[in-house]
Amino acid sequence: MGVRAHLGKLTAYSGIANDYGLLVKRGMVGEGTQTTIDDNGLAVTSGGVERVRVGAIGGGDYGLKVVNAGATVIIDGTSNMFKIAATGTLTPPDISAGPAETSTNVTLSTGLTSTPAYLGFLNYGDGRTLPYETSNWLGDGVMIDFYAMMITVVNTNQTKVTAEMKTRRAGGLSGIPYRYFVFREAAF
Amino acid sequence: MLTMLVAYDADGDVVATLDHLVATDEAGYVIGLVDFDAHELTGGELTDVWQVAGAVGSKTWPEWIGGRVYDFRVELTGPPGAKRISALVHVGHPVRTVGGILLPALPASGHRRERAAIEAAIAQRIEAAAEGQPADIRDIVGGPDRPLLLDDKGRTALRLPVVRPALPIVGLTR
Repeated sequence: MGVRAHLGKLTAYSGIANDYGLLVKRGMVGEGTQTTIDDNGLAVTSGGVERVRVGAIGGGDYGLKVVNAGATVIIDGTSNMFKIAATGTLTPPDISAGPAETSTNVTLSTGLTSTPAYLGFLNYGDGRTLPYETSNWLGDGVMIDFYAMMITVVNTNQTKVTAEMKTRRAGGLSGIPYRYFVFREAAF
Repeated sequence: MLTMLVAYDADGDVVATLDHLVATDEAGYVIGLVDFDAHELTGGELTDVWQVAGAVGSKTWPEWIGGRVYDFRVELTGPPGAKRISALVHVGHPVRTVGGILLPALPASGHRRERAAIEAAIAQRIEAAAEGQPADIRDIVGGPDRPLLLDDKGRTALRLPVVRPALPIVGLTR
């Protein structure tokens, strides 16, 4: 059957001098996919390529590194990403007659102490979803409607999301739902 | 239990929603998702979670229906100080003027989305799940990133099955 697991010196299997750890695999060691735990962390090797490494990923960094079948690094844990801290919807009140503006807001206990990144979308109701800052223009080049969303920090660690509408239309404008996403920057 | 929050005005019309909120500790590390339902059930004030302009209150709701929630009016039941949203009643919306476009009104159907029915369906699905296995309730409640699809009367509609185009996948097909 051959060696399925080995605890101790792994040099014979890894080719790395003074390599010690735990190696486990389903088939023959040295063939196919195997998992190794050593002093650099945990590694999954397949076809002679280290596909996953959790621990020391090189360059003095620690994290998660994943490599695809072509040996290209696809996840290296060295770049931050945006993660969703909160999401929901809010709708400004209708404007019955313009020119006028309305707004509404929600204040969320996000714990975020700095102004976060955010995204928003307008549900236009006609099958279209538009960016959170949208304006309509007349043929004469004059803006007639304006939708916007903005974000601020309040009370040092709460995030306030404000949605507003402005219009010059005499017939007014209906309030439409805004979808908001508040992001926090975080390690992968 | 994970739920969304619905804020409403004095008429019961929805003014804002919060699908989920990530909780962090004092150092800023994520510790989980805020349990709105547990907070509500133990008498906690939802103003601890958020404050909403123009709202007279906010309560939990056990499903996610996205922006369609604005076609409903909330119905509250329970003793003072411990009210919960017991139902969402479909009221549709009037003609809308959006960017110079007149969108047709959506008539009120009166359809009721009942909390008791949703929670009973969840409980039944959990009971039916194999021992120690999680119950999949996504078709009952949707989710923060996948709201239920509703028809024009406010009833849950079936999503069409996803058909993936027959394209090759890197590493899987040759």
